Amino acid sequence: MDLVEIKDFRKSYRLGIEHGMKTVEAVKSISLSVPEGALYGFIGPNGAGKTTTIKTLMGLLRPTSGTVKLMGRDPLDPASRVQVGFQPEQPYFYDYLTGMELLMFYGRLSGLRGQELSKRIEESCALCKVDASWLSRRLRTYSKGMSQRLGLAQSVLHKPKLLILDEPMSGLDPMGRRDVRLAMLELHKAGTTIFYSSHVLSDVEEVCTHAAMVVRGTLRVEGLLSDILNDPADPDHRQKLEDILAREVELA
Amino acid sequence: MRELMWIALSSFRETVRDKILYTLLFFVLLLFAFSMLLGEWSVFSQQKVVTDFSLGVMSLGGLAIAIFIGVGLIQKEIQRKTILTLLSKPVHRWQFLVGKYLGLVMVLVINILVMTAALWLVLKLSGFPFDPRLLLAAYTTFWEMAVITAVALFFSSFSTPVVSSLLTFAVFLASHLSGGILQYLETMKKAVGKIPGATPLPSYVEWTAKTVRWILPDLEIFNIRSVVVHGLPLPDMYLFWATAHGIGWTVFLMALSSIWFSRRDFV
Ligand SMILES: Nc1ncnc2c1ncn2[C@@H]1O[C@H](COP(=O)(O)OP(=O)(O)OP(=O)(O)O)[C@@H](O)[C@H]1O
Ligand SMILES: [Mg+2]
Repeated sequence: MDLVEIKDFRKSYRLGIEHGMKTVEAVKSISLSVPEGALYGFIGPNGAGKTTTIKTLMGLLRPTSGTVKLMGRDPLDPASRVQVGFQPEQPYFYDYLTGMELLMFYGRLSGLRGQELSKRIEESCALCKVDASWLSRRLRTYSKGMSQRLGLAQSVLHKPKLLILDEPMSGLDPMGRRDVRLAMLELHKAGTTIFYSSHVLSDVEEVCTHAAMVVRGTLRVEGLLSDILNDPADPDHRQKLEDILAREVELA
Repeated sequence: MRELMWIALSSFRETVRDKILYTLLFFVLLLFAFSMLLGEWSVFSQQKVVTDFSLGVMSLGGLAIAIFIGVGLIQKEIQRKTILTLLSKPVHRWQFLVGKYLGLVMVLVINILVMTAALWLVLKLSGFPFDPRLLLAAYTTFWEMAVITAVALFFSSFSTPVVSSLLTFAVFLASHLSGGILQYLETMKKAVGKIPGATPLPSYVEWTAKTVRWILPDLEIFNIRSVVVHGLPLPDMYLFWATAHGIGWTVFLMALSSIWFSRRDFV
């Protein structure tokens, strides 16, 4: 079963009264599917519609048309999210909570209790390189990078089958990026399917099994990374994602 | 159901850690102390003035909490985008809304207890006995707060904080005023013909007041101040009907907010 299925997805935002209730077409046409076991990179220039697609997958937005399925269900059904972990584009948290309180809260909402919850908090923090000493501090004192890692940790607490991350590397220093990449690889090796958006094309090229490229709301390229990188003109040559993206932006 | 409880507890914690709560409570207590002075200056019985004024302050304190905290409860989550992570957990949107509300209601209960204790203290300091019926007034005030908070949450589920605050205040005012006007009209009707100079008010006044009374929650039903202060008897079943009114409106408003909430986009 494909854990994510998106077919002919289209989404327009309605602007407020102050803009005359005009609509902005954020996504014109996206179809893609994420098979079980994939490490799926979702790429495209700024404003391409990646976050819009991901928010719709998480049931935060309703598609204007088309079908979007998460774990085979309608994303508006909370049951679709039981086995899914999510980290939003920017990690926004309750600044009056401590790191530990935040993880306890989200862990409980994901169905974890007691001993198991404490154990999972410990393991997730170790995986995401969240220092145990941060956990007693209020979130308002966290740096951007610290929040980003905590955001990743909260998304894996309940050992989700599918992890959806919106730019998990943004705001991290080079070491932080490496840590997150290693964490993702470890999760993937342990059987977690990951769908993530990124601007770091070299990373996607290096680690992903699948990729999709969106330009101005339209899906341009999708599938196995090896197929995408294959140069039809010269079978011995591997294309670079950067060149493909440049070409697709040109064409779009 | 567990999800609901965790969200309620976190909303409770959020409110308890909010400085604005203590600022509001501080003002309420200050006004209680002020009521002692007021009682001394007044030509009426000091005990009556202190209790009447303090109970009134309680109800206004509830309004302030509903407006300053209730309106922000949902709006803050949306503006700070914390709602994105929360709703990515397997929770229903109505659970989020109701959980947030229940957390604030827990705070309201504690507030009422604190204010009632303060009233007891003020009466004791002034050398008056604490009429146990004041607890009944505190009880109905709790329901008024619960309804006002539900009104605030309802407005804030689809409009901006400023607009929600104004609308909540308008509901509070209109509801209490229409109750007062209807009472006044009753008295006037009886007085016409008996007291020279008493003329009936134009019928549209009564019509407007009745309409307002019908479409808005009747907050005057929770106002048993004068009954308690003047030691009058409460009609049979009054508390039952007041409670039913409070529960009915709360459930209705939360249901309406939930329906609206379940349809909107969170960008
Ligand atoms: N709330 C909104 N109201 C109106 N338009 C919006 C809104 N959010 C996004 N858009 C528009 O939708 C389009 C897609 O935005 P989206 O955030 O999905 O892009 P993205 O691919 O995630 O970009 P980035 O790489 O910069 O994060 C953009 O043109 C953006 O201006
Ligand atoms: Mg984005």
